[in-house]
Amino acid sequence: MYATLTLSVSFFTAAVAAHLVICRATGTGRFMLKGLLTGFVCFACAAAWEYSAGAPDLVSLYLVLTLWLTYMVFFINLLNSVTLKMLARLAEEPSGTLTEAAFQDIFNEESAIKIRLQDMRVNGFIKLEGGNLGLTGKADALLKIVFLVRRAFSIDFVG
Amino acid sequence: MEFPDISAAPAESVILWAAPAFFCVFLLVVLAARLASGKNCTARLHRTNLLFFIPYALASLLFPAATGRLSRSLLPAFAAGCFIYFSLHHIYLMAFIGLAKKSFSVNILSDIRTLGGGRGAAALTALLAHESAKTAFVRQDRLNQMTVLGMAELRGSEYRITPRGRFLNGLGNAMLKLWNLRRL
Repeated sequence: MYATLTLSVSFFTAAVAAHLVICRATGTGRFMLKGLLTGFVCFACAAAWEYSAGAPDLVSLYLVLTLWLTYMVFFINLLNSVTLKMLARLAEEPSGTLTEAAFQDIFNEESAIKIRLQDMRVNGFIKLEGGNLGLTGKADALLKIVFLVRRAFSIDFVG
Repeated sequence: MEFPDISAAPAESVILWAAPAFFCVFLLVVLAARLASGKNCTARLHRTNLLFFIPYALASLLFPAATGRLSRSLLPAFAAGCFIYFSLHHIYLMAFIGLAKKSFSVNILSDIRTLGGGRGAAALTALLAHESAKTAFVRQDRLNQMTVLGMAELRGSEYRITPRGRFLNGLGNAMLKLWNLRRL
């Protein structure tokens, strides 16, 4: 078991180091793509290592994959979370205080929706042609999964 | 049909396989009791997950003890088992539930679909009006979350950052700086 843990942590640490170097060199752009590619390469290397050493250890591969996903989830939250953005904005104030009305000015409906719609258009989820707004095939596929999860887990309240 | 003799199985394997097994029982309870429904399901799901961890931890201790194989060398297997149990909940299950329930972008996509495909300027206007109302709710919800998590406190109509909030924000900013990342 020690070998399993050591192997998983070693591959994960190497992937974090590689991802750190990549991010420092290239910045925030295409964060997801870079993260997923690094994770995939790390997982493939771990699988190849296991295969070359004899019988693949599934626990070790699960640990490598999940450690990487944990790391990705952490950074995705750090980059995207509205709560953390609000906290950062609050911390920027010298007095450390902001009124509810000030938050309304900063996180207003217009900018929030505009940014999301623009992101979704850039990432190929919606198409905006003239006054027509439509979903792409990619968005349809994503929504199929989302509606399935909502039905399966009886999710009746969203937001 | 004969059941396999579990007492003869290596204690490490039992500890490891018990983690997904207990998680599956927890998942069945989540589905049957509709624990993901309603407004504040996240805290309820975390609590229930933690509740199911107790029998897992007990089983991981009692099984080797009952078969006379309890030793300190089982600790790494138990650590891996704990990681498997909690990761199945926090990384996989909560990712799906979070995506279906909380994601702002996914909710906009879902609204485009349910509000009639967004054909024409009238539909677009209706969608924007609908989303505006929801954004106000999301903003209020996230402000509440900040206070619930102890990162800020509400005094009258003002939000004040707490020492914990300042520490967490500093830690997050330091990591973003080290990784050369910028909040979106």
